[in-house]
Parts: sequence; structure tokens; C-alpha cells
Amino acid sequence: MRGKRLRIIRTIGLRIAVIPILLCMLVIIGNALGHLTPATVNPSSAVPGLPAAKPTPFWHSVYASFVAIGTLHWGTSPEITRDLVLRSLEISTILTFGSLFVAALIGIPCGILAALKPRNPIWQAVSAFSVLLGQVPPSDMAVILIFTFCLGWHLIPLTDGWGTFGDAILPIMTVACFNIGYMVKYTEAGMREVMQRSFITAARARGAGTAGVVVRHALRPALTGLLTFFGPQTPMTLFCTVIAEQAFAIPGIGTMLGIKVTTYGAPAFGSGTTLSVTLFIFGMFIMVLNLLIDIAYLWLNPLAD
Amino acid sequence: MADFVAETITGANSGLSGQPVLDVRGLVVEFERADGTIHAVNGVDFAVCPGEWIGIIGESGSGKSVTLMSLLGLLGDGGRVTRGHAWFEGTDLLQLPNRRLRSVRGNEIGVVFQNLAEGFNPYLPIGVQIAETLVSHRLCTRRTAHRRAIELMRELGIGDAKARFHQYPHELSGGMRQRAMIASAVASEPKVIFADEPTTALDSTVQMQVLALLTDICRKRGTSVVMVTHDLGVAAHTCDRIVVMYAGMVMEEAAIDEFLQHPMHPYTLGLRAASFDPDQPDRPLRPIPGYAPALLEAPHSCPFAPRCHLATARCREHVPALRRIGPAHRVACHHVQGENET
Amino acid sequence: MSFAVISDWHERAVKSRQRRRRLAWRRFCQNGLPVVGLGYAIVLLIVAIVGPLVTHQPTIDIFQANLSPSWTHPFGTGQYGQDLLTQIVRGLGGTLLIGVAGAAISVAIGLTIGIAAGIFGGWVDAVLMRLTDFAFSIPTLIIALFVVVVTGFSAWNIGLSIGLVAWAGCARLARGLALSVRNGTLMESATLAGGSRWYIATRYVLPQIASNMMVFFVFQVASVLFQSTTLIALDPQYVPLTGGQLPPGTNLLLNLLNGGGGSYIGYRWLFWFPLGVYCSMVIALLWIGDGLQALLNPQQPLRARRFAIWHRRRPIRSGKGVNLYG
Repeated sequence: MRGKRLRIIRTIGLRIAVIPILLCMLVIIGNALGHLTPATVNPSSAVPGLPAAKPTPFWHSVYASFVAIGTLHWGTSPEITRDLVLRSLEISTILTFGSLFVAALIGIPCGILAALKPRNPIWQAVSAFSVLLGQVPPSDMAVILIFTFCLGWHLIPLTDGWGTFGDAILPIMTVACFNIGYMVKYTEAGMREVMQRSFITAARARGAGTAGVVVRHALRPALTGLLTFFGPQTPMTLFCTVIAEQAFAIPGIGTMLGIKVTTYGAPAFGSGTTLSVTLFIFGMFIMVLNLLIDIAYLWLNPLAD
Repeated sequence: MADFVAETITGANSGLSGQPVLDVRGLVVEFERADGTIHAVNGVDFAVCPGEWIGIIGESGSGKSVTLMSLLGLLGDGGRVTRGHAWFEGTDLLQLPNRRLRSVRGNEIGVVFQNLAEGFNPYLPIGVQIAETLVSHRLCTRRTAHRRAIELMRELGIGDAKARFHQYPHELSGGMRQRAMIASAVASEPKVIFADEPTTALDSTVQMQVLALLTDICRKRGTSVVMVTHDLGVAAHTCDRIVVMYAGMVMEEAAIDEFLQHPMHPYTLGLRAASFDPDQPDRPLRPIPGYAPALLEAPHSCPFAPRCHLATARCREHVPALRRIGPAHRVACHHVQGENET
Repeated sequence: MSFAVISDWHERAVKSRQRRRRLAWRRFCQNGLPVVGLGYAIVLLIVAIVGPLVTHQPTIDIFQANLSPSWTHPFGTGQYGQDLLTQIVRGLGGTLLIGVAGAAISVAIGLTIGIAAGIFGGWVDAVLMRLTDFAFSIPTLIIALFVVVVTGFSAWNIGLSIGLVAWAGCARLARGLALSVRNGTLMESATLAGGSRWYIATRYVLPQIASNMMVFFVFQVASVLFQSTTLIALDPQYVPLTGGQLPPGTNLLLNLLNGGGGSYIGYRWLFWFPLGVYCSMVIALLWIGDGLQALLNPQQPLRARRFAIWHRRRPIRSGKGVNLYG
């Protein structure tokens, strides 16, 4: 027992130790990408008539990126203050984790029921519908939700921005819809697979009822399966958050960093610094999420090392 | 199809006394599969007396395990019992609703599964799973159940039981796991234990240890055991009565002495010719030619006829009935004369 | 005599192959959905190929703007009077190109990395897997976005950019499969027979994991399409509730997806038709993938045919073909 716990702590410690290194690599990569294509990325050269800006040396811009990250003063515009940055980080955290929580709350029970009742048309329909939900692009999902809940049924007042509890419902739902699809699908698949295994028969032979078999025996193996599939989905969850922020005009990190492209090739990320700051922030989010998933996996699965 | 409901041999014939604790009559089990309906068990009947050991032997695919699992309502997807009765303490197990059947499982009938790594949930500590029988039937509090599980583990010779209680199945050796499996089966003092190939995956020394433990613990409690096995040696060593199954039918049923001295059915003879006999070490092993049938139709002839060297036209047209040929001996073969016929 | 035995053997082998194929096909269409998906995907493919040949670029006519669906305009018209059906039909090809190109590139990269890691092992494995872990934890779409900005906005570039960053899952899967092949005895015999690493990788490992990669590819197409919608939604020309327009030179279903949002209030067809086409396309892909997966690793035994029009009676087979009770 002791040895196992030590091993888990060591694994997690190693993961945490690697995160800063990876983040530094991301910053360097961001600057390198910015330097590889100065004409496109540097805004001043894209505007005809203006002389091209003199490119800064590579390590100087890397240094500038780290300074920007350290002082929480991102990008070039002076109105992005420290408080604003912290607030946007907070908002995006609430959105991401809230949506994951909501998705798990809805998706996992639906997946379990769909797996347990393979002949029940209602739960099969729920399962199929959730897969469909997961495939609707988040930008369209936002529109659908607004027009269903705000303008159609008048359940939620139509607001912009952030502040009240009501403001959070629809954005969280938008992101959650993407995750519900995956959660239902993989919970269902995992549960189906687990219920076929012989230790379930053994548990039933010992007299456990259906609820006991599902909760005590089948849930943990099924959820470990879900977690392994879910890890690679975290970047997409984050991008759905960005889209939801755009759609509902929420001042989260996506809005703050102004992640957008213009078709005409002009200012993309402002500069290599902005690109690397963006990569840093998003990388941090993804790595923390993945770390939490790893911890949950180690906690659920006694076989893991 | 012949009428399978015949008189069964009870303990009175095999030297033990008393009402049978479990009486299976005319059990028919079918599976719905893509290839069609599979007739896995076609009219099996046998009775188990208190304290008696019954060995069910046969090739794989002859419906031994399915027979036991169907009694507990643990058939997998597509399996169903179409006919038959299984009287257990005055109730018919096959007619019981699932909830009542659940109170029988584990509580009154314990199951020892084959020692696969899968027999225990790899995600739960082994002790919790041993105590599960007691906890899920609410026989005692959780704490008492855990203490009882540790006692049982000690009784079954699992050293350092307190530490082992918290270990996971993959941290235990095969023999230990099988001991734990026996502990989980006997935890609630059941009247009957179904042992589904309890020693197949173990090496022979551990096999003998585990068998000795099982024998010991069941004799002490007066538990009846129905043991499914491939191994004639194991069956001969431990059982009071042997039931030979082939293609979902009982081919021969005899008390152990009778079975060892006067086996009658050609299939039994074939099985014995195909297995090693330490008394005649020089005898060459002869496998039974051919394969077990796929059972896509209910039998309309002797199922063993295609592989039997005695088969005649009658064997290919009529299903032989299971007939009594001695006080503790029944055989289903056209070539063996029944007790009353000669 | 021996000749007769051989010919009999051949016939039986052919029969069993036919039977296997029939069973595989039945597994594929076990619940009907994969066949529907396959049929729909084929129809879409034909439309995408033939469509641009028989239609013209939709004309802009302000006086025809925002017409509801009618016989002349089955899907209605857009905000500049373009026929929506024509736009969808002409945009389908580019969308499919994004999905297929992105999936092909990511599978190619992932397969190479995964097989190399699985076969060479040792430090190659360690380095490549750390690289894969890194690829899992970086915001891939931002890099893809950057690539699109640099290379220009077109279907091929979007597919390329997503393919370049979305290979990590494939690499992990391919490594796992390659390891399972490598730990088998076949690999040992190949090494003992003196096969080189390249020979073993292409002749032994690749064919064995190809079928699994096929399934992955199908799901990956759906995934790449989803990512590309997100990518395009980050485009500022899409502003929800105000509508947008096609960028010059590109004609994508995905653009219609986002552009239609603004016209939802009065002109719902502009929203629902492109979304419907997109979602049905992706769901069809997922169904095909599910069918292929059921075919490859059957977890459940095939159920009895319940709605068979005719009942095919098969003779009782003896033999080891069906191991019924384990």
C-alpha cells in the first residue's frame, strides 16, 4: 500500500516538474514561428506603404515573452491590465471546469443507462442524440441554445458579458454539449465492455444486486476507460470555451488574447510575443487539465503505475 | 425427443441419506445466436443430497457450466431456460423472480469460479470482495463482515490475512486467489457450492492443496458440492457421484465406486481411454475420434452416435433414455440393458 | 488421392472465406446504421464530384435575397440572393477535402512515429513518446490557426494545418498496436529469418495494424472536420448574430455553417440546411466507423436475425467453428 502511494506521488511529482519545461518550450516555439514568417506576422509590414519593422533578435523576443508572461502584461495594448488578465483567467477557468462538471453530471448517468438497457429505445435515442450534440460545432450550438432558451422559451434572459449566474448557464451548456457527446459514448462503450467480463458474473453470483454491481464493480473500470479517451479531448474543450466566449461576448482569455485570423493575412497574433503568450496560457490550461485527469486515473485504477 | 424426466438417483443409493437439497429435473437451456438457436442443455436431471459431492465431467462445450449458471439465473446474453425445474428447499429456482433468486445466490448457493485472473474485480481489494456476500445479503454489519472475511482467509491458509485483506487481486498468486474465491463462496455458510472447474488453471501441487482445503471446509460444514471438471482424476479423488455429460445430455450417472469399476457408456469408456491412468502407465492414450457437435438442433438421435464405434441404425434414429441399470447407476445408451428389461 | 485431398481443401478454404465475408458484412450492418451511413457518404461523394460540373457559381442578385425555400430555390437563398443549395453542393468538395486530407496527413505522421517507436524501442521509443505527450498537451489549434494564416485560407491549407498537429492520438494507437505485434511470436520468427527493421515494419507490422488504422482514419475525418469548424469560427468575419460572407476564392460548406447564424431570426433555412448537411455527414462517418469497429473487434456475439425475409437453413456443422460455452 505504502509503496503504491509513494509511486503515485512520484509519478504526479514528475508530471508537475515537467510542466514548466514544456511551457518554456512552447514559448520558444511560439517565438520561432513568429520569426519564421515576419512579413505575415508583423503587422506593420502587412500594411502597404509603411516600411517593414526591423525584426528583433530571436532571444530578445523570447525574453520579452517571458517578461510579458511574468508581469501579466500581455500583448501590446496598454488597456490590458493585470486585474483584467486575472479576471479573464478566472472566467475561463469557471467556464471550462463548470462545463466539464455539467457534462459529467449528465453524460455519465446517460451512458450507464444506455449501456445497461440495450433494448430500451428511449435510452438508445438519448445516446444517439448525445453523439449528435457532440458533433454540432460550438458556434452553432451557441446560436441554437440562445434561440431555444432565450428567444423561444424565454427561460433565460438574453444578456451579454459576465457577472450573474444567469450569464454562465448558456456558455457552460455550449461547451458541455461537446463533452456530453464524448462522455456518453465512451461511458457506454466502457460499461458495455465491463459488463461482459466474468468478474461481473462472479459478483452477481455472490448476490450483489444490479445497482451494487454497477456502482461497486462496473463503474470504476468503465470510468478509467472514459478517462483514457478523454485526455486527448482537453485541447478541444478549451477551444470550445474560446468559441463560447466569442459567441456570448464574455471577457475570458480567448477574448483577451484576441485569437482570430483575418482572411487577408494581416495581423494575426500581433507579434511573436502574443503568439507565444497565447500558447503559454493555453498550454498551461491543457497541462493542468491533463494532470487532473492523470490524478483521477491513478486514483481510480489500482493497476496503474 | 424422448421424455427425460426419469427417476433420479438420490443419496440413498450412493450411501448418503436424506432428502435431496437440490433436485434438477428436465432442464433445457437454449441460446439465441446468429447461427440459430443453440441447444446447450437438453434435459438434464440430477439430485444433490446434503453433504454430497457430485462431479460433472465432459468435454468442453457439453453444457456443464451452463447447467450450473442457468440454475442461478446467470446465463449471459441470449441464454434462456425453456423447460425444467430445479427444486431447492421447496421452491423452484427456475420460476423464482430475479429478486428472490438474488437472495439465493451467494447466500444459499455459493459459487467457486475457475481461477482466471478475471474471477475477482481487479479494481477492488480482495477482502472487500470476500465480505461482499455477507454485506450484500445484509447478514451482518460491514465491520463484522470484514472481520469474518479475515477469519475465513486465515482458515483457508492465507498467511498475513490482515494485510492481504487490502491487497488487490493482481497482487496475489493464483493459488491465493483461488483460496480467496473459496472463502468468498463459503462466507455465508451456503448449503450447496457450485465449483466451476475450481482447479483447472492451477499447477498440480497447488491444485491438490486447494482441493484438500475445499474438501476440508465443506466436510466440516456439511456443504454439498457440485463440481464441474475436465479432470477425471480430480473427480475420482473427491466426488461421491459422477455425472457424465455430452452435448447437453446426461450420458451416465453413477456412484464413484461403480463408475470406476463398471463404466458402461461408450463415451465414458472413451474418456477414460483418453486420459492417463496411473494404474496402467503403459496403456497408450486413445483420443475419441471426431468433434463435439455444434448443437444447432435439438438432438433427435444419440448425440454420441457419430463418434461411437458401437453405433447402429437405432442409435442414429432414437434418443436413448437415461435408464437405471443398478442401484446407483444410470446410463443413456441403446446398447446397455436396463435393470427391468432383462 | 493426395490431389483429391488438396482440391477438397481448396474448396473448403474458399467456402470458409465466403462465409467469413458474409459474417463480416452482417457484423458491419448489424444494426443497420453503418449501411445507411455508407450509402449516404457515397451519395455525398458523388454530389461533391459531380456537383461543380453541373452547377454554376451562384449569381448575386440583391432582389432575390433571403427567399424562403421554394421550387426554384429548394434551400432558399442567402443574403445576397445566392442559391443556398448550389452553394452547399459546390462547397461540399472542399469540406470533404479538408476532412480527408487532414486525416490522411495526421494518420501518416502518427503511423510513422508510432511504428518507429514500437519497432525500435529503447531511446527512440522514449524520445518519440515524450514528443507525443508534448503534442497532446499543446494548444494544437492555435498552431494550426497560425499555419493557416501563414499559408493562406483554403481547404487544402486548413486540412494540412490540422493534419500537421493532430497526429498524437494516432501515434499512441499505432505504437500500442505495433508493440502488441512485436511481442507476438510472428515478429520473432521474422527477426530470426533475418528480416531488416524496414522489412519487418512494412511486411509484418503494417498489414496487421492496417485494419485498425482504417477505423481510426474514419473517426479522424470526423474529428478533423469538427476541428476545422472551430478553426473557421475563430475567423473574425464570422460574427454571430450579424452574419458573414464567403471569403474570396473559397467556397466551403463550413463557411456557410458559420455565416448562416446571423440570419437565424427570420431566415432559419440559412442556419438549418448547412448545419443539417454538415451534421448528417459527420454522423454518417461515425456510423461507418462504428460498423468497421464492430467488424474488427466483435465484442458481442451476433444476435439472431430477427427481420430476415427468408430463413436460410444451414446444415449442422460439426467442428471447432463455434466454441459455445468457453
